[in-house]
Amino acid sequence: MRVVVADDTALTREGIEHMLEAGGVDVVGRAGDADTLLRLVDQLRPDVAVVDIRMPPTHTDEGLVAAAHIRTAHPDVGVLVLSQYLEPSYALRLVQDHPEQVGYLLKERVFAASALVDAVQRVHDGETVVDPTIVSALFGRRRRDDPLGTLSPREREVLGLVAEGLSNKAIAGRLYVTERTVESHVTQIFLKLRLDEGGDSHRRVLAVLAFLRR
Amino acid sequence: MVGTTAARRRGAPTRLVAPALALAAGVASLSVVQAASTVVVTSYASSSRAAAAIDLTAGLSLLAAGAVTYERRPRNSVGPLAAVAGIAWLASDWVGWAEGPSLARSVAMVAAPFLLALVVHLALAFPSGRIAGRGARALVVAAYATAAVWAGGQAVAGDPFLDRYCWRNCTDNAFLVHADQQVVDTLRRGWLWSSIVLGVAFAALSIWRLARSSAAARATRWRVAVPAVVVAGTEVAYAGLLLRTPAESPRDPTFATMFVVRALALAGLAVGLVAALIRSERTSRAVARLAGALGEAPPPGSLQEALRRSLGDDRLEVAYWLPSVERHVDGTGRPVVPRPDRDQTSAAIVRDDRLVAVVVHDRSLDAARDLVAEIGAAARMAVDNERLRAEALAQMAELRASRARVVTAADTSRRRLERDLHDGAQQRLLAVSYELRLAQAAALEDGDASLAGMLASASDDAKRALAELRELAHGIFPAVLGEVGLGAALSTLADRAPVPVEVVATIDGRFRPSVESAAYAVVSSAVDEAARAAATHAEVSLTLDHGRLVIEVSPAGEGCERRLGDRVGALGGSLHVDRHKLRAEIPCA
Repeated sequence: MRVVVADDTALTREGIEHMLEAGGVDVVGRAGDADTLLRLVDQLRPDVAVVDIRMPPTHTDEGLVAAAHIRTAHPDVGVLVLSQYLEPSYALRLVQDHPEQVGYLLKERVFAASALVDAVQRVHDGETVVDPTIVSALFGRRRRDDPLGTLSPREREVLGLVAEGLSNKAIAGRLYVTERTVESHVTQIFLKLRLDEGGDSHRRVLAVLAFLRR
Repeated sequence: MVGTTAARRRGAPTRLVAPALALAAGVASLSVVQAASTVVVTSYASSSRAAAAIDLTAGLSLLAAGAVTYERRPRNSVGPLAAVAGIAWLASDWVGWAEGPSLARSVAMVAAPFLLALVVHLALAFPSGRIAGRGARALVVAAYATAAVWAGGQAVAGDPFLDRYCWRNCTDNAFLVHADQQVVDTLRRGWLWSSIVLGVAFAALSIWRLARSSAAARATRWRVAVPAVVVAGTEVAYAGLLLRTPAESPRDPTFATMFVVRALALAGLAVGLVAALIRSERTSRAVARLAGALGEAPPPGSLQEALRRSLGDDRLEVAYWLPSVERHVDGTGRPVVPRPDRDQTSAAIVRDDRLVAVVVHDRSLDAARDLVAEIGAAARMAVDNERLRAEALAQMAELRASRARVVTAADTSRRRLERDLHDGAQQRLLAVSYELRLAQAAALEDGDASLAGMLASASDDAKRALAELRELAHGIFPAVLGEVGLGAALSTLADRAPVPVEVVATIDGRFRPSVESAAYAVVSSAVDEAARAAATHAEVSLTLDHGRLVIEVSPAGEGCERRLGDRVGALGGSLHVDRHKLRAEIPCA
């Protein structure tokens, strides 16, 4: 797998590179700002771009803008956005525009064992990645007449993994159950929450995230 | 008002001189007209009773207008000019005084041609008495010069006996030195042509000046300028008629009509003069009333408005001088620079040798100058009140600006702090946790399980520190507020709030950073207060109302009113808290 890394802090970038290479991922390009990143993506056509959300020149949301650019111009290149913001708005914005092959990962997770390589791999495989901390923040949101209260603990667990972007197969692997069981859980959950399950797993992520933010 | 007080000071006997002279001239002219023989007509006035009445009306009304103007404005040349113009008009009758002394008829003959020059001078000098502008001065000089050439030439070289067109006076010229009728005829033609040219030039200049003058000036000037232009028009027509038909005769209907028109035009000028005087007197009285009222109690509304009304000058401005900040402010405390334009002039209100205020007013308003003089003495209290109010308002505006600056500075430093944390401490801690992972991996490779365990725990600590630092940075300033806006920031606030928060209305647009920060602070504090008060949930709404961002949070907690009020007030907004709801409004246009 070929990856381009963009982060304006050299130390962090090197760390990310090291983690990726240790996980057997080929880092083919490095960028310190969004323009260089876009040029590299144009030239190198990597499988995935790992992008810091905050880069020069304005240090605001360059990463998100660049991600949207890449997903539009090169639909076959996945984008994993790294961020220090526990900010569901940003994750939603990313997933909303292009739900496939994108991910939003908190930076602190990057150096935890295989989390980064897993996320890059999932994005490459066409999944959506939403950082578990963000999902749990959304789960923790106080609600009047909390609809999540109607779910069983196991169903809540499944819903959380759906929100993180995992496929049924991956969820089954995590929970040591059959894919069949996961499917029936998901159907049950969507019925209880009156959500439309329809379509692919990316739309499913979006629907769940939007529901959790309602 | 300076004029009237000065006139009063000079006492009754002097005051009566001008009217007495006018009366004497009138009575004398009347007797001259009455004495004229009815067999040979030697003046228009002697041609019929009606003509006599019209003739005397024109002359006497000018004399009377001059006398009245002089009585009210002794230092102004307009009064004497009008009176002399009346005499010049009546001089034609004296020329035709067949039984009169030769000298009287000769003097009248010399005086009569100056009528047009006097009218031109009067009209161009009105209302100040001074002729403004090089063109106007040149015109007046030319008018007097041509009248003098004609009058002088006629006196020195004109033997009436030799004049084949003579009709008023065919016998007497006390000044005759050497008779030369050819010279006299040439001079007469030159005089008539110059009258036409001067009359047209004067009319053009007057109309141009009237059109260019300010509304306030025009309101006075037209009363004299318009009749003066009519007089000039009739004099031009008269000169043209004389050039075409040199044989003048009151019995000729054309000449008779021309006479009536000229006389009426002059009477109109006299009426205009008096009307202008009355208007100016009325303004002066209004100003006097205002000055009196100002002395007793400040007028309702601003001094500037009162002055504008009294003086009929819509563009008048009062600028108060604030020595503490060394600048001028208007009645509402806004900084202004008193700068008179072309039609305006400024007058200083000075007390105890110190500048109190500057009044910028129309140049044409004599009364304004008087008023400023009066204000200094009479309206001490009103001006002081107004000035103090203006000063207080100016200080308030300054204070408001200063509060806004303080809040903005605090916002800015919070943003910078958040950014510094993000780009500095958080990045460094990330690097530390990365290095700890590396060290842990190395320890594992070396088979040092206990070291690897310690490093793993250190790494977990670093991760916790990162999470805490992230929360701290978010508390200092939520990045999403600056980057995406209020709507997204409120969603995040709802994600993290200790009670369920329902955002029932929100706005997608962006506002000034200080407005967004204040609005966020209001919602955030109000929601925290609601949670502290054990509310089951909080409702938040953001709406726009006439350029104000309206923030409502219910239920309203207690305890944040003062702090949030300060925050919102610094931006010129307001905060209201009752039992059910907190409502803040922030100007955001």
